[in-house]
Formats: sequence, structure tokens, C-alpha cells
Amino acid sequence: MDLDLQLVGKARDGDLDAFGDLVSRHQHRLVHFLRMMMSSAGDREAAEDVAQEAFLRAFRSLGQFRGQSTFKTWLYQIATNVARTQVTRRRNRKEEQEPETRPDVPSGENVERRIIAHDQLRRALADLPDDWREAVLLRDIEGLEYREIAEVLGIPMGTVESRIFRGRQRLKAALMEPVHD
Amino acid sequence: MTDNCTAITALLVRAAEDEHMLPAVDRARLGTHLSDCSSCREALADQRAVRARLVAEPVVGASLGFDRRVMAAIRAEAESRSRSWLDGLDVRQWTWRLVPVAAALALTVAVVAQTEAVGSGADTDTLPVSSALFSEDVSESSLLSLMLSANVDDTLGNHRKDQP
Repeated sequence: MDLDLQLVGKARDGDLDAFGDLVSRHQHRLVHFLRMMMSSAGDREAAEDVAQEAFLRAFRSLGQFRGQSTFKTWLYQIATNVARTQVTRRRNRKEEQEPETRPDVPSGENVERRIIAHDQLRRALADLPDDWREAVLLRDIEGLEYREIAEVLGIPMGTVESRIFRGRQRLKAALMEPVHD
Repeated sequence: MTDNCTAITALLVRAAEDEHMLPAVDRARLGTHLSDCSSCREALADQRAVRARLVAEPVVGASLGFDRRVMAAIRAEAESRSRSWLDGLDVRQWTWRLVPVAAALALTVAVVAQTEAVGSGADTDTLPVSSALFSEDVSESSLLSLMLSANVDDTLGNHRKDQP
């Protein structure tokens, strides 16, 4: 049996440590995905707030998880919904300001170039329609199967393919501009 | 005749990742279309470039202690949930449900107490005549006589006095 499903089973029986293992297994990629998803928000703190809320909602709804999809797919479905609400809320409150803090980048590299490239990506993603951005990130960042993306977003597979195609095409124009030093 | 470019979109999306993801028949179909369509060839190159850029983006995950903060919130939630289960018991509703149970218990206690009083040899004169039913010392003939002659409201003491 899939390890995640085993942990879900134990967590349902009251084993909180098992749920802790699920958090440990998925926290980094989930926060990374949400940072890209909420690219207009920019900072890690906002992404972690959403990730924490997603884990809480998953914990509350454990009894409803039937194992027909992977735990990851189910978790990302919850997280995407929470992120959408956050993005809309921020947009309505007009909190879309340039982040003051520098984005986190790995040390030991050409830091300035990486910062500029990351900022370029962030802006390009922020300019995408929300549903295109979701589809592209779930595929190209998280590596979910097309069938899983369709499940997370609640759309047909053909729509998934169409959104990914359009999203990548729109990103191309923004990302292929040279990064100036 | 080649497929319309729109119909090829789904194939382009997947081919941008790995052409071998496509079944052989779709690979052939895509190849035929691309040989005649420069805009789709360019679109495929764009799809590949963007995907490569996204895949190469370094993963910057959760901060140190994030999982501990999440689990602290989860444990607080679990604790709150177990407390509210107790608080949620509707006392009034359960009181009404338990009334018949309480009445049955009270009746049982009364019967047992009466039986024990009759059997213990205590002063039985004040006991109602019906208590003779629970007495081991009353013979069947006496019990029959009692049932036929005694007044319901009588005590055993009064009944004995009235008997010849």
C-alpha cells in the first residue's frame, strides 16, 4: 500500500504522529507550489499560511478521503482552493504590491542573476490568468499527471491540456526576454 | 491532408515534455503535421523552452519549524474537538431519555427492598398484604386464602387480626 495511504489510515484512527509524517513529506513541495501559485503575493509567509490552512482542512476532512485519488492530489485540491480565495481576497483589498524582501535563492550561485530571473518568472506567472497558472504549475512544477490535474481542478482533461498550452505560450513571451545583469 | 493546428494542441503539450509519452499513432500524426506546419514547430519549441525553465526553478520550500507549527495547530484542533464533544451533550435531552430508565430502576429497588423486608423476619405487620407474594414463609394455601379474602389496602397485621 502507498505510504501516504497507510499514514492516512493511522491518522484517521487518532495517530497524530502519522499526520505529522504526512506534513513532513509534503510541506516543502506544497509551500514551493503555493509560492509560485500566489506569485503576486511573493513572500514565503503568505504561502506558508495557505499551506498550514490546507493541512488543517485536510486533517478535519480525513474522514471524507476515500483513497480514490492519491493523498497528494487531494491535498493539492484543498490547497488550490485555499490559495484561490487568498489571491482573490488580496486582489480585492488591492494588496498587490511589490515585495520588499528579496526572494529566497540558493546560496553559492550567481545571486544577482538568479534574483532577477526569479523576479522575471514571478511577474510572468502573476500576469497569467489564474486557471492557466494553476494548470501549468501543477504540471511543470509539481509533476502531477494530467488525470490528477483534471481531478484537482475539477475540469476535463482536454481543458487541462488547453490551459497548459495557452499558459506556456503566454509565459514564453515574458520569460524569453533576456535577463539583464 | 494534415490535421487542423487546434486539434494538434493536446499532442504538442505532451510532446513538449517527452514525445515518447504519445502513443505511436499520435507520434506519427504529430510528425506528419509538423513537417508541413512551421507555426506548430515554433509552438512546440516554445512549449519545450518554457517547461524547461519552470522545471529548472529551484525548489524553495517551507521554513525551518513550519511542520512543528502546523502540528501544534493540528493538536490544538484535536484537543478542542474532543472537549466540544463532551460540551455538546444535550443534558435536557438526555434527562428525558433517562426518565423511564430511572423509573424502572426505582420500581426494581422497591420490589427488592420489599422482598428483603419480608424475608428478613422484620416486623411484617405493617407490610401490605401484597408482600405475602414475596414471602418464602407463606404456604400456598395461606397465600390463596389471603388473595381471596384480603382487602387490597390491608396490612398483614390487620389481616391477621381479622382472621378467625
